[in-house]
Amino acid sequence: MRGRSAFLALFMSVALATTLFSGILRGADAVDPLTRARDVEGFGDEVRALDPNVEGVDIAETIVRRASENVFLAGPKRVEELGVYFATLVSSLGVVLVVSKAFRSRSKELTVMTIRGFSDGQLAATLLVENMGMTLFSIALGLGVGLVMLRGENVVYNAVYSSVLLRRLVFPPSALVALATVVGLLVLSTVAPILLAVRHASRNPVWRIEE
Amino acid sequence: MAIVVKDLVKIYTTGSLEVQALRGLNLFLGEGEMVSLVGPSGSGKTTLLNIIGGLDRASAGVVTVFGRDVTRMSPRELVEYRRDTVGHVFQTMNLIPTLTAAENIELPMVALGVTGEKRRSRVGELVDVVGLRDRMGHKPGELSGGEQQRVALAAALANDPPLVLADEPTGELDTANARIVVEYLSKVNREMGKTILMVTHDPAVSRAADRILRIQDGVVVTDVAPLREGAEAPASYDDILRRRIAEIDAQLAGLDDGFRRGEMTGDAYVERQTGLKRTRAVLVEELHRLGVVH
Repeated sequence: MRGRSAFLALFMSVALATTLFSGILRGADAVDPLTRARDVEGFGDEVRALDPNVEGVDIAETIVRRASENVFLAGPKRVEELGVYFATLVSSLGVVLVVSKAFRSRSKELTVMTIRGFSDGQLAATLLVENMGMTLFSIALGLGVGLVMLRGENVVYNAVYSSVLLRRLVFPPSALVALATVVGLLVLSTVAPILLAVRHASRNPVWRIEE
Repeated sequence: MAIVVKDLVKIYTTGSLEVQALRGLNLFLGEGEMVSLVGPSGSGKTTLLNIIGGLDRASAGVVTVFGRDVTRMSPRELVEYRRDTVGHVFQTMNLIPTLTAAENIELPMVALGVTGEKRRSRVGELVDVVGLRDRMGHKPGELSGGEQQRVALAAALANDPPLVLADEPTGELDTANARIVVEYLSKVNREMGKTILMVTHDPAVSRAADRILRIQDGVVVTDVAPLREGAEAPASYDDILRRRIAEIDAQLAGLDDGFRRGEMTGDAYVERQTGLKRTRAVLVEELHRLGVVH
């Protein structure tokens, strides 16, 4: 019985370590605070000393730490992160191109508005209201779908693979920074073309009239 | 005075090329006056209108509109000036195609921050002024060219500016629609007391004004009252050129006949014919420069 409890404690501590190490949205459902500062390696030795017939002790924390240090095992995770950043850059560029093209085709409308007395601020506000709705909706939709998918993944993991380690969603600072960067880039990719279009329309409207 | 322009100079720089569009131009317009600005293409009419309208900057000189120096205004002051002092009507591209006529007329009032109820009330007044009450829910694509220009005129008047600048407002219209638009411009001038400065190439349209200013090579060369019905028109520069070309054509024909009759030597014939043809070519080129196809 003691061995089973020890293993449970080990698994609990591993769950915490996994959460802290990985910096992603996974972790354990409950952790015994007493196990946090425990010397897991020494604890493993204690388990081995219980019975000379014990062939080996698998310590989840050690396995996870070694896995994370192994470039071949940690590689896919890094690739996944790189993929996210790359997709963010590509989608931001795509948004910039789409919004810029839309404004190029509407440059005469913007000129008319300038001539009719719209200030730069009023023009920018009008365009932001028109365009930011779609961007913000897309961001909210992406966040919602991402959360649902992660939560579903955890539910499946907890139900099927493990009855000892329970994963849960955690938002460490690094994940929040990454999230803010992604959202910021997407917002910037909408705002920047708007500011450029306003500047273009208001600086010398006469050329736009004569085009 | 509504407009006072003094020694106005505008130089455009394109790469290493400098073009002097206005060369020390002077003019004045009294309050409530309607003035036509005529002249060949490239003479500086539109440039002048754009500077007076706060859409372009002068290189030198002073433009005063209702006591305000347009040439020294900051960008923020220019925005306010375009909102409340001047209304623009262009040849094309006056309206936003996705908005209805009423919404296009409302646009300047939105910029000024007028409340919705007042905007709607003002739109009602203006569509009556330009006779388009039954068309106010239509988009520009559903309106004729003349109707579009009348909507543009209503939009130009939305914030009740004392000055309306019209750059070839009838340039894309047939004669009947051009006459209607000019009648509305005259009505706005007479009944609402607006000062109107209108660029046009059409002599019939220019005669609707109180004065006609002829601009050439960046300066005003003549300032005359338009000819009214029944008065005999003095020969214009175009007519003088045409008459001289016709004389040369007659001289060339006479020269051919004289040569056939043996009245001159071959050398004399060639020399005279070459001289006359050279003069004719210069006159035709001058007509082309004035925008007249001969």
